[in-house]
Amino acid sequence: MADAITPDAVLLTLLWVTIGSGFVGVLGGTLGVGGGVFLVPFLVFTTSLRPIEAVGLSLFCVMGTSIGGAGRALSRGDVNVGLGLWIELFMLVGTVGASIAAQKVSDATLMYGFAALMLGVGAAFVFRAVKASALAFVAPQGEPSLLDGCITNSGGERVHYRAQRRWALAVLTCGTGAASGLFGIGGGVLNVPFLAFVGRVPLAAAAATSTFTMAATGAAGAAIHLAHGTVPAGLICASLLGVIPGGRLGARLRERLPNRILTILFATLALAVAIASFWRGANG
Amino acid sequence: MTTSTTPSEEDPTAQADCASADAESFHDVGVTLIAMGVIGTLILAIGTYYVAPLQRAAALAWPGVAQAMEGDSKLLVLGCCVFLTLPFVRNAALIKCLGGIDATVRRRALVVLGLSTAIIATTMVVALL
Repeated sequence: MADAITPDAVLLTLLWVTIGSGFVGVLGGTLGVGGGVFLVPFLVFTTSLRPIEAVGLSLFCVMGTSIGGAGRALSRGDVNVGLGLWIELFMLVGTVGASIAAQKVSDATLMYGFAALMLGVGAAFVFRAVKASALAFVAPQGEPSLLDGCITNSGGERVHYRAQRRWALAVLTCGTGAASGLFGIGGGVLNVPFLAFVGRVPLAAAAATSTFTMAATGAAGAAIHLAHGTVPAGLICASLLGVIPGGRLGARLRERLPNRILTILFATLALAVAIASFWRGANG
Repeated sequence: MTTSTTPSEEDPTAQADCASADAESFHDVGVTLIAMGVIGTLILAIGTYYVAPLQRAAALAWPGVAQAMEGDSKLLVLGCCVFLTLPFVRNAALIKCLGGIDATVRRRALVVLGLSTAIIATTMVVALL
C-alpha cells in the first residue's frame, strides 16, 4: 500500500542510488568509458528495478554526462562537429529502433544481450589499448569535407585530419545506437574504437565527438522509454547527482593510473558483469 | 596518405575549416547545454522533493517498501522535458556556428542536421503525444 512508505525508506532509496551512481561514475570516469555500462548492472543487481527500467534511467544519465562532457569538449575545440552530425544521424536510427524493440524484449533476453555486449566492449577496450600506438590519421586533401577536423596535439599545435570510411562508420555507429537503445549505454566504449581504428580519427577527437553525439541519441531513447513508463522518474535526479561528479572525480584518477592497470581492470570488470548478467538472465 | 601533420600554409582549406572549429560560438553552445542541464536537474530535484513521485520510484526500486503510486508529478515530467529539449537547443545553436565554413560543407552539415532533428522530433511526437 502506498501509505506504507516511510520517509526513511524513501531517503534510503535516494541515498543508495546517489551513492551507488557516484561510485559507478568514478569507475566509469577512471576507465574513460562513461557510466552506462556499469550503471545498468548496478541498478539491476542492487535494486529491484527491472532491466528495462534501469535502461530508461541510464539513458537520462547518458544525457546528463554528455551535456557536461560535450560542453567542455566544444570549448576546447576537440569535437569534430561535422563528423558528429554524420554519425549521430545513424546512431539515432539505431537507438530509436532498438528503444522500441526493447519494450518487447523479455528481461532474460535483455540480460543475455547485456552479457554479450559486455564481452564485446571488453574485447574492444583491450584491442584499443593494445593497438593505440599504431594509430595514424589522414590529412585533408582537395575539397573541404564535412568530415574534416582539427585538434590540439600534446605539443600544443593544431593538427588537421579527415575521417575515413564514412559509410563503414555509418553502419557501425548505427549498431552502437542500437546498443544504446537496448542496453542504456552511451556508446563511447564502442564508438571511440570505431572512429579511431576505422575512421582514422585521433583518439582525443574520437572521444570528444562521441560524447557530443550522446545527448541526442540519449534523448531519443529516453523519450521512448518515458512514453512506455519504463523510466523511474523520481530516481533520475539522484542518479545524475551521483554519476556526474563521480565521473569528474574518476577522470582525475585516470591521469594517475597506468593504462595497463586500467585495461586489466576494465577487462576483469567487463567479464564479471557479463557472467553476472548471464546468470541473472538464466535465473530471473 | 597516412600521416600526422601540423597546420601549414600549403593547406588553406584545412585552416579555414579549423578556424570555424575554434569559433567562440562553439563555446556558447557548450555553455548553453550545461545551463540547460543544470536547469533540468534543478527542476527534477524540486520535483523529487515532492514525495509522491519518489514513493513511486522507491516502490519500483524495492517493491517490499510499497506498491507503486499512480502517475508522476508535473514537475518531474517538466524536468524530463527540459532534458529532452536539449538536442533541439543544441542543433539550433549549431546552425549559427556553421556560418563561417565552406558553403558546400555547410549545406551538407545542414542537411544532416535537419535529418537528425526530424528523426528526434518525430520520435518524440509519436512517443509522447
